[in-house]
Amino acid sequence: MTIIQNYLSGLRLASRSLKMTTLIYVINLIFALALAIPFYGVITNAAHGSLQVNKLLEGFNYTAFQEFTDSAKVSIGLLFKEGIWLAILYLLLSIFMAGGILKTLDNGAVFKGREFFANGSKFFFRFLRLTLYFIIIHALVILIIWLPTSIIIATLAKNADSEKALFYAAIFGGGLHILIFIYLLIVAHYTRFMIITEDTTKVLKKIWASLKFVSRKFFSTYPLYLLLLVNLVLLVLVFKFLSGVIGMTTGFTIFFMFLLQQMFIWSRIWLKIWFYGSQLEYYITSPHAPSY
Amino acid sequence: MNCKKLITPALFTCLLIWSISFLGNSQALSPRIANYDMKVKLDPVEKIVDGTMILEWNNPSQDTIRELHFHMYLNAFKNNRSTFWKESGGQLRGKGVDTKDPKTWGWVDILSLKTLEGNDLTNSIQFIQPDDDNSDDQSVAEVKLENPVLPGGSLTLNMEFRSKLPKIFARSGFSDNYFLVAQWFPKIGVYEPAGMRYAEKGQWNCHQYHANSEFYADFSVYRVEITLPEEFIIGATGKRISEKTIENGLQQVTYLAEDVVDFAWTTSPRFIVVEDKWKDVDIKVYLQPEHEQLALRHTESVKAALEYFDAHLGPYPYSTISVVDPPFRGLGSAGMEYPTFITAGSIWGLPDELRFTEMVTIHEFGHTYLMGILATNEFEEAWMDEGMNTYFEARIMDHTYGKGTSFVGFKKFHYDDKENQRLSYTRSLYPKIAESTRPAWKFEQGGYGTMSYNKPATMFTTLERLVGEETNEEIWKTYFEKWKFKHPSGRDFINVVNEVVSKNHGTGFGENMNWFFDQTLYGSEVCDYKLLRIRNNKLTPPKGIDDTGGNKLIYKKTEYENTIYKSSVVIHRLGEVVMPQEVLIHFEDGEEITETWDGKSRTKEFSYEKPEKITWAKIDPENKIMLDINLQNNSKAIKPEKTVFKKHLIKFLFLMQNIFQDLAIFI
Repeated sequence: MTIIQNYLSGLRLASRSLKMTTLIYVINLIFALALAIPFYGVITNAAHGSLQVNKLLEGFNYTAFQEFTDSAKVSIGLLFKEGIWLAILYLLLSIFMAGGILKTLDNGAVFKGREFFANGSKFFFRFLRLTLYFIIIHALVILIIWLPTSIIIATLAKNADSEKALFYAAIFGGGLHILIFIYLLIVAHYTRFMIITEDTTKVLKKIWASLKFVSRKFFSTYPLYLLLLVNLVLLVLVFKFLSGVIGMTTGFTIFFMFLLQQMFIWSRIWLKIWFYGSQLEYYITSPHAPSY
Repeated sequence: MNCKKLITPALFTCLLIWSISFLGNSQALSPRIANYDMKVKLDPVEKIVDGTMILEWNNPSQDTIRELHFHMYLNAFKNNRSTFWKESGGQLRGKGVDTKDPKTWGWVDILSLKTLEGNDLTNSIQFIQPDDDNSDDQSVAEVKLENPVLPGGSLTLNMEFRSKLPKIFARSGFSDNYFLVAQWFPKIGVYEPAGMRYAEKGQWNCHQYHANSEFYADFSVYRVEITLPEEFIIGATGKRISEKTIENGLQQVTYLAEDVVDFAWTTSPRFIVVEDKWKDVDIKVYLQPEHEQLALRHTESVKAALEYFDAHLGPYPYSTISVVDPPFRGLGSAGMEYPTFITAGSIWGLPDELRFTEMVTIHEFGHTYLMGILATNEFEEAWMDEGMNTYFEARIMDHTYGKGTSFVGFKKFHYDDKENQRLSYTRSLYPKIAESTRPAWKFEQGGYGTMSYNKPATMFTTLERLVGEETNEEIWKTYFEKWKFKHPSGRDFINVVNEVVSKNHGTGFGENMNWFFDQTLYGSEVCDYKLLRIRNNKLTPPKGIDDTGGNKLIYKKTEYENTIYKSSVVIHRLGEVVMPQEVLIHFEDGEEITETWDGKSRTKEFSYEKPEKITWAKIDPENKIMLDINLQNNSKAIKPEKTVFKKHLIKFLFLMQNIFQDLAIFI
């Protein structure tokens, strides 16, 4: 199959995954509300009925913003700590749900709630290990890229005629980091596909196999990923445009923007399933795939 | 006696003095107490300036002067025993110093000092420390005179000196082949006769170079001939009056600056010079090549400042202004001011919405007026040049680049210079750390920046809004006219304020405005008024026995036919600074009452009996008292509008949802 065919297969699978998308969206919303509701309490209390905060309705007002955040900083600090715990919990839940999502897609996107959670449970620890391994690998990559980049920047800072060279060095390091990061994400995805399709617990072995697979199929896997990324970019651009036009200055526009924002989040999740679908299809239809 | 041998040097010297006078003979704008004629040569490899100087000093007092005091500023960078080094810890303006590199250090030596008559004073040079006990500090030299200078008399000295420029970390020195040559020669101090500023008797006012201090000097004429390699592009204070190429690949450039308090110059082979003009003023910007695209930001901001000061303070009296853009390794020299010559600062790729370059350029140009023409003592009263100039900087920035967006102007995140200044003071960690009138080197616990720049600037904004724009304008113009080309003190400025306010407002602000300055300038307390509560209590008929009719009867009425509320607004003065206040009270039928209050008592209540409730109230509705450290607590509504909270709830929810989804990118 060509990249475009895989791209469209993913769309087909995602179109059949609306229930699953909605389930993930609801979980995302619940987690966010767990912070947003106390946040509302914090900001209404911190304002103490002041009229100054109304300046933050029409647009941005630095004085109002600064003085308000100063008055609320203790409560916001506590909320921040709560947020960190929720973030960790959400990460673990996402790892859990990944098993359910991928197995559902592997079964032609036929969503069954019980099977979804059972598969999530089945693959959770394998995917957790995989995530930890990839965090370590990523940390090593950061060291490998940024240590020499920092040395270059420090040398340039002492010797270059202008700061322009430093910026270019940093941009180069940053660019390289992004490219390698995407590569690692792709390897992680294909590792999961291997674990799901072969129902194996040998995570490290599959990381290595995935590395080989992605490297050999680099000019298919990488462009496919970038093509799928374009979906997200387009979504963001459309959202930015609409939110710029609508604004949030009245009760009506605030409510309308709320709806638009939730559609954005839902779409983001749906695009993620499209991502998985396209790449999984590519893996499954690739020659020699089962031997990896 | 060989008369010829006597006549020739005497004639030559007379001719020289005459020529100095002739060259400096445009109509004097200032007293021209000290006049310098220098011939200097830069060795860009050794970072040394060798020079000769003829200094003519005029005794401005009725005192007989038996010694001279000189600033030897570069000696502050001689070693780590100087007062400057001890106070700064070897770093300033965010830049540390490599102490192991011998080229790091700087100094200035007087190699020879003679009077016109030939008396050699070289051996009578001694370093003194008028401010502290640090005997190692060599930033002030005293020279005992064999023949004193009589009242109204003058003295001409011939000096040879050598200045080793330090690696730039505090204003002056070099970075690679970029040189910012400032405070670089032995500069005579200011002799204050009795009655000038705070002098009760005649005295030298010549402070040591401190980490937190800047400078103070008399008005002078400078004629400076600089010899340096011809590939170096040079800019300086004043006007270039000659240039020529001489032997050995050298060039000689001469500058003349009249009625200025200082002379600084810069050179580098990398400069790109951009020229512009505002009325008759020649503008030159010395840019780094990588910042060429920022040229317009420099020229436009200088022109905006020229225009504004011309309209609101007084005409710019010089024919040139030079702006230097330091390289990134020379940024320790950025953001400084010298008469007709300023250093700005920029960085490659700086977005247009971040107006740092404009802010610095306008600020440093402003010092040409506030320090350069109104030549205050920056050691003792830093607030006068920095605070006043910071105030004007915000006025110009907001006027030129828009209120609300002048400093940072992104669509979703923006603020103006005035806000920035106020918040820098009100949100500082210790807003009560010191009073603004402290001498610059006396901020031992910190606070020099906030108390010299931002608090006084906010104070001046408050003054402006209290007395009104018209009176404020008159204050500044009167101050400028009265004190230009002189050395005003803080007391002199306050006297002008009192004079103008009294003329325009009578006793509307009391006998004078001393109460204002005593608290905000000479005091360190803060201003904070809080709208404590609003109450609306329904009035009910009395209960109990009514014996008004002669008989004891029980009150029967439980309610009035028409509802009446006893409403009150209570204000609490949290801070120690007292300011007259206006309070705007809004009732539910739309009626508004503005109350005035002297602001003195700790709490103040305004009460009403009306059919309508009070819905909200606001202290200082026109935001006059910008010194109030918390504007949020200045208002209260009974039923706050919820829309703004809903908006931010929705935004926060969306943000959290996206963050959680971003975390899932690892899955």
